Amino acid sequence: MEWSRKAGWTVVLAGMLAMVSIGIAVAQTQAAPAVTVITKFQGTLLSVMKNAKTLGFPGRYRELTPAVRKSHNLAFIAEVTLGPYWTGLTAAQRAQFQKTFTRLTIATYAAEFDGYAAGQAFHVTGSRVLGNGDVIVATELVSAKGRQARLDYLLAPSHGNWQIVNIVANGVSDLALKRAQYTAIMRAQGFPVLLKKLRAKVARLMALHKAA
Amino acid sequence: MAGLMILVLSGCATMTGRPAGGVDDPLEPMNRAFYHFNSEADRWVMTPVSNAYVAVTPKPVRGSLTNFFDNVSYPNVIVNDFLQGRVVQGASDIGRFVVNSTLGMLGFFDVAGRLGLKAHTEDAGLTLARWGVPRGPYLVLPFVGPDTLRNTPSIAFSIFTNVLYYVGNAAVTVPLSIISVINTRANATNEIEYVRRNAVDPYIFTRDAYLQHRNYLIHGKHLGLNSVEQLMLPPGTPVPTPGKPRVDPPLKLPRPWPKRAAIRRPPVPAA
Repeated sequence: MEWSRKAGWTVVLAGMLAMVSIGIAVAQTQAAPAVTVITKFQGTLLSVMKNAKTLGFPGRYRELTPAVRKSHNLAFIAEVTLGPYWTGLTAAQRAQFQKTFTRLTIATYAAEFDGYAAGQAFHVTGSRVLGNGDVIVATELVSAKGRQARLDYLLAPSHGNWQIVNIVANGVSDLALKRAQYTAIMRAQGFPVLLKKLRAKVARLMALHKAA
Repeated sequence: MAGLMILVLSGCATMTGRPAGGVDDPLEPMNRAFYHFNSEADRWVMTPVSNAYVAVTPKPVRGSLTNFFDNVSYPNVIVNDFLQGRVVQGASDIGRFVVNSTLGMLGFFDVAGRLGLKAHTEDAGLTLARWGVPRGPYLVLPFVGPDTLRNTPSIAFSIFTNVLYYVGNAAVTVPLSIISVINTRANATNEIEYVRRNAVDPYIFTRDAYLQHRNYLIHGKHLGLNSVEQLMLPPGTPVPTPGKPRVDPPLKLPRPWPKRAAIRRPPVPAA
């Protein structure tokens, strides 16, 4: 009697463990394509960092353009950054905003990832599937001195591919920061001023790095 | 320099009431005035001083000075470890402080780090947050920068837990305190420059980055499940209430969220 009760508990426990293991395996399988998107994008980023000086700003911008366009859902991100103001824009204004936002995103990457320190590398540290099917890929940027930053990417499916829709650096959401700034300007000053400011940022980044 | 875009977000961080970004900022007019004051003071005073300091101080020396100032202020971390009931972390931090103060020659060398005794980030503001004290309004303090009402005791707390406070010799502590301020400013140069280069509204950028990063620290550098589920927009981000819309045609409101399925979901292939 004692033995059979023990055996029963053992079977239940083994069953639960098996279910948990299967659940983890399924989640990992679901997240795998999203993880691949991140490793590929970070691979390009690292390559650009290593060759930053020879490429210069225009070269980095050129190299990063296809990688950013492919791995980021820039149209969706641009829309979210404007919150409800998006619906008030004309089709032409939306197109103008998306074009400027895309240029600003790529120019920011090209401007900021402008060098490489010995030992710098990106590592994927985990992934998880969210309730709505989106995937979080946790990564870190390390250098010879240790971890420099934690980077969490949120990816969602789009037209058959997984694409980045938000990046959270050390707990700070890039999307939330942009949305907070852009919607504040929309409310106080309107779309033309926001567009002008974003275009000025792009021009400034280009000018700052012209000689680089 | 590489990866600065990432690092800066953690180094920092409309109108009155609850603005579009969703952060409760009832003191925004005053905060913006102090933010402007701090920015100008930094531009005209601290930036040249910091640049001169960097020019005359070799990088390894600045690194050692940073280690030293971190070490003399480390009792702040230890006390807050125990106030939060983090006994194991507190014991580890005592070990770190003792090792660096002795083998690390007053902390100029981070020997403890090499021995696996990692540095932790704790302060009175984090302790109060973990005790359940509400955050209170966001503040920008002159000469201090971004803060919250809950975090203000941290300023006094960090002074009284700093070893330099107990040295009792102004001829030593005053110059060291001045160097500490300049060194801290020099270490923040990349972050400050990043904000100047990239933020379209530096005040909002700094405020939101600061509050988000504090929230991240409060949760022990983990993205809690709630924040993960709401990464698209962090918790507490309401639908903006537009003021006078200046776009044409007038604003149709509010749909809090684009129709994700329409935008992002791929067509399901036929079986």
